[in-house]
Amino acid sequence: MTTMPSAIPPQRRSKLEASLLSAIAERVGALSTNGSPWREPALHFLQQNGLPARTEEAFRFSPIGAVSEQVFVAPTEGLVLQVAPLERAAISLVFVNGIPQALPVTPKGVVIVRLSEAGAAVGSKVGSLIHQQDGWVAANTAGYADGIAVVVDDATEVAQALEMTFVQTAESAATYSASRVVILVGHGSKLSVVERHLSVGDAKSLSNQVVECFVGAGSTVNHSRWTELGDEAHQVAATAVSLSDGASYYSFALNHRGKYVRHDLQVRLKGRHASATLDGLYYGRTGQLVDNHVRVWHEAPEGSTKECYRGVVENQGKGVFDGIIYVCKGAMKTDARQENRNLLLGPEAVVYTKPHLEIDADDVACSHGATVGQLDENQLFYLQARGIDAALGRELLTWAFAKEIVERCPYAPLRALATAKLEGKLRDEVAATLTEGLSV
Amino acid sequence: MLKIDNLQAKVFERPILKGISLNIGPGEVHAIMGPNGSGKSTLAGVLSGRPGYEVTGGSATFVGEDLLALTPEERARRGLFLGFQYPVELPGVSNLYFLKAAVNAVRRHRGEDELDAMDFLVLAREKAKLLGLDEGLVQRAVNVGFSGGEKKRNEIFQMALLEPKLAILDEIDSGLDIDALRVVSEGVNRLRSPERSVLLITHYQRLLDYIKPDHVHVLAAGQIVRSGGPDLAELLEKDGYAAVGVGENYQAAQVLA
Repeated sequence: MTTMPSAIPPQRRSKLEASLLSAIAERVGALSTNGSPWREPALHFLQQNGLPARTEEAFRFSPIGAVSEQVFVAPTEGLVLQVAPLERAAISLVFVNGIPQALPVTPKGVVIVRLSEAGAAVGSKVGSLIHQQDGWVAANTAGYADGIAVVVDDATEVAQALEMTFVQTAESAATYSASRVVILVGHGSKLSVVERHLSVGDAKSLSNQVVECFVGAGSTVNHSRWTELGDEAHQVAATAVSLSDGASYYSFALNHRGKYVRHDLQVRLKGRHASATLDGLYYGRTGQLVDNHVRVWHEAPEGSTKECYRGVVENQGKGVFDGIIYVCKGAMKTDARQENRNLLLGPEAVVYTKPHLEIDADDVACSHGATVGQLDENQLFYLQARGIDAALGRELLTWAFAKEIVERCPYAPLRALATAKLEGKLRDEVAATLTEGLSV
Repeated sequence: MLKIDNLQAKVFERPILKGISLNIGPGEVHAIMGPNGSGKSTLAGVLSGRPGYEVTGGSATFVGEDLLALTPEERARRGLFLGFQYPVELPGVSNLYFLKAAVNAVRRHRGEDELDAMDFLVLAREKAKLLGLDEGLVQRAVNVGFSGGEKKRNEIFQMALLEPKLAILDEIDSGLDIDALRVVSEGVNRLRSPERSVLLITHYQRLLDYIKPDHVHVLAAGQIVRSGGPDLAELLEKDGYAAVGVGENYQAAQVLA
């Protein structure tokens, strides 16, 4: 039994926490419950525990920083933005500051509906995978204004990808917004989900995103995620997934940039013979923090997990990786692999990596490992000895390290975007550097 | 082409090269032989600009320029090529991409037009064929999963593409079986020309059966103790380093001295 900590006295709350709490408490009564029982308990949890502090193990290395002393307000309502999907044929859904815009036309077997308009059968799923594991998720559950449910029937292979683009805006005041999505995929179906997280405006912004995804028996979900936020944009996000018998889930998560980007990925293999492949690539840019917390529970036999995250951390950047795979009692013949590799690009680059396994079952094959290193001097010299200058050589080796993950992106248009963004700079520099070589 | 004068260098505060002088003219092939630890690879490292060596005296002039003042990439662009004793694996970097960048860096420096992907592919195929290098290897990541022989062949392949003025081949024969040695040597011989010089660094006379040098030097304890023609190599093969006064204890004696 856990003891409930006593409520935090108001004077101890940070400005961020106080402003969020008062905004949520004011609105919560008016918000639709959608048949989900979690709004009020989540608010209570938030009042009791507050936002995550450094004293919580899961946030030890990722304090949100100076913005905790900033008052955040709700963004201007009714903002409409046109954002084209990466692939014209995709089922496109745009969220502006957490609010879903016009709903797309959907193919047969797929329904996309606002949570405020969804029936209780769908609405009651909200919060059933994740509702208040920490203060951020609780704030989302208690305070999201409206969300989206995506329902895919049994035996439906959805040919087009579902592209969800999340844009956070902050023109002058610091703004906070929350979005919520629940994805329900029936039996024997297939769906490709692509998230892009973008920001506009130079002021501080903070988005809080939660996705819950149920993958039915024998179904496959490919889930790609691209985060490219501005230098003042913060994000806390959680993706919770549940897999039934024989279900497959593929996650590809790439953080390109953002002042503070935290992603919690939680996958529960509830059915036998389910499989999860979780690939991640994160860039910790100078002055920025990126944190990936990945939790996997093997709750049934014969499941497999292949987890591979790589980080590139620039000088004065910070990266955090925390991965745990629980092999629960009875999950025999589990095959779980976890790997985390990090490249530090400067003397003041920092990475905290914590891969771990907890095994309560017999007859399992598990491995985990983490590395933190710098660019190999021998490799760099080899490039130089062939006429390639040191700066370009470093870029080339860094891209080579990252590319091995980028190439695994299951959604070709996103793979192309990532390649263009991450290698494009390098490509331009090849030309520039070689031109400079002329004047030597 | 290359003029080395009284070159001295140390590694981790330990003197390794103790005054080396060497003149390599255009089109000449020089071989440097010597026992383990004599400073052969240090010489290659210092000339190519590998980090970790500290030059403490002397000079090296390459086509009229102070070689030691240049970065490794500047040396390469000016036509100095180092064939690595242990070619480095570059996972994730395709051989083709790497070589195209390398060739174009050199071409730019010479004021020549860059090759586009197609032209480069044609050139690469032609050179690969000459060296009997499997085209599949050309497409793969640099040296990753290559056998020892393939790595060395890949070095010579790069040399063929880069067309250097001076090639320093550091133990290009190590780890090669007799067939691979023949292929690699033929590759080098095909690249011999009146304008291209070669500095071969080797333990074994065997290599010199395939690549005939104009001059042979014996390096021992950081100094050239004997220079001569091809016959010097034969003498070494027959009587060992003792024939030139370099005994088993020579190194130790020099270190103590």
